[in-house]
Amino acid sequence: MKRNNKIICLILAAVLMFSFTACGGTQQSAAPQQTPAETTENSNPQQTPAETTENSNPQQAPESKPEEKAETDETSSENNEESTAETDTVFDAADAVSIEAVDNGVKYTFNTMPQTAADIKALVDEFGLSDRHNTTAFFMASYVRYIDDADEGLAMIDVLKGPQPLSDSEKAFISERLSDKKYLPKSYFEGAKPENNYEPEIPWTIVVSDEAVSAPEGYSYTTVSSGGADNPRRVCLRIKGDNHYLWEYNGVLLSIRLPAEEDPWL
Amino acid sequence: MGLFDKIFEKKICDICGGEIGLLGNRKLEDGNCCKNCAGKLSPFFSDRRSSTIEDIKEQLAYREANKAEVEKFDTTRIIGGDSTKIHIDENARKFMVTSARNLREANPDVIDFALVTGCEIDISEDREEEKRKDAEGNMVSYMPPRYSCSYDFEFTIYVNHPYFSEINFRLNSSSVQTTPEGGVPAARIPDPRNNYEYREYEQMGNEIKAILTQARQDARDVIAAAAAPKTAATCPYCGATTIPDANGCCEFCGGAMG
Repeated sequence: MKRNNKIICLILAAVLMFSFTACGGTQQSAAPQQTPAETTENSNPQQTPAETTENSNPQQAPESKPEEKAETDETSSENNEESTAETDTVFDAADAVSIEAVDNGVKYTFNTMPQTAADIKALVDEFGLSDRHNTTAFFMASYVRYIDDADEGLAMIDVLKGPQPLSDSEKAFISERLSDKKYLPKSYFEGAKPENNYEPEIPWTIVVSDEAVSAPEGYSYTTVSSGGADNPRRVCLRIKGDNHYLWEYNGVLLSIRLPAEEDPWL
Repeated sequence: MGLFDKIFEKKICDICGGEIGLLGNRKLEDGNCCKNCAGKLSPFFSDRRSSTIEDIKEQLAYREANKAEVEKFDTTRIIGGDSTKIHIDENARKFMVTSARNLREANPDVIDFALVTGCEIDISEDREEEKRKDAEGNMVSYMPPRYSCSYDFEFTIYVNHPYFSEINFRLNSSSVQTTPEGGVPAARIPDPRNNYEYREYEQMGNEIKAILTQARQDARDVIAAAAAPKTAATCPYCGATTIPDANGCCEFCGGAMG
């Protein structure tokens, strides 16, 4: 009899324990007293103690030691500096320019304007000079750069001149023509008009058109239009092998209408 | 066979003594000149056929001496068109007209302002009728006829030079179109002066004309002043009546006599 009562008590205790667990375990009065070990082990039968400790707050990063944290910070900052420096120095020619065929010409959208001779070389390596429109477009971008840095602009133009770089008289002529017309190069880009002082739309976009007149053998022509001129301006290129190199470009140095800020009659 | 012998006969250049290849002969009045020697002559020289061997040799000597002039030429100003430009040395009162990039190689003639006798700008109009294709593929006129107009700007400098009398070049590299594509009826052809490029080239021509004319006049004034007979004047310092020396100073006290 006593033995049966013991068994019945154990069974009742197990049932009560089971129902206590199913109800969330807040009522301790009904639950039999348990040892701490048992409590820990049985509070969440699906997790081990180690898992419980680790997953108590899954949103927190694991705490690291201060030294390790400092090293991590230094490493990450160095990586950031390197990536920033790389961004500054590497000119991605493929991303810098978008090219699109349009009616009677080619449209170039400069997402990043080239700044150095190395940038022009990168563009040449990427797109080549077998298309005369490319040479003209890259020249016009170099022309814009000339205003901010004449030496750099001339170095960029020299890349496109092929086997015959700019002579001293050519450099002097460019300098004289642009000395009082800083607005001239950017007037060839879309959106640049006398009314807005020749500020082009961003990104810088230019259309290089075909010339109606045929060029002599060994040469090719393109034209570019300025927002301040009535006629397109011719650029002459000289062909060597498959490449079209810059040859004559004085048409783009010809004067255009004054920008609004310089026109005394506006 | 005598005729063929004459055609294929080896000719010798009377200037340099070298052999003249096929199609390389440049005939002179009294001899032959190879294309190398002819290439060294002034680009503005057009009188080769009526020149003698001696004339050509003299000119080549002048062209050789011109190299030294090009060497010491100090360009202070560049004016001109898309291709051919005028390089001016205002200090030495000289100029040269060239489209070359390498001046040493091209050896353009260095000309004194005083040799300029005149300048002229000639604006030539080219009016073309635009036609269209009819249903049968024939080119027919519009009704009323439509025209496209374009202009070219030729500049001529007249000089009193021993080997040439005029320098001719075009200011514009491509003709200036003043009508829209497809042309316009004759009654609606716009005044070309409404076109910006037309005005620019016209102004450029007038500017060159003014510069060269003024420079010519200044050079002539200098020459005239140097050649004018000296008149006696009173020295403001010592009161002597005397003719100023070459420096314009009194021969007695050395004071400046204005």
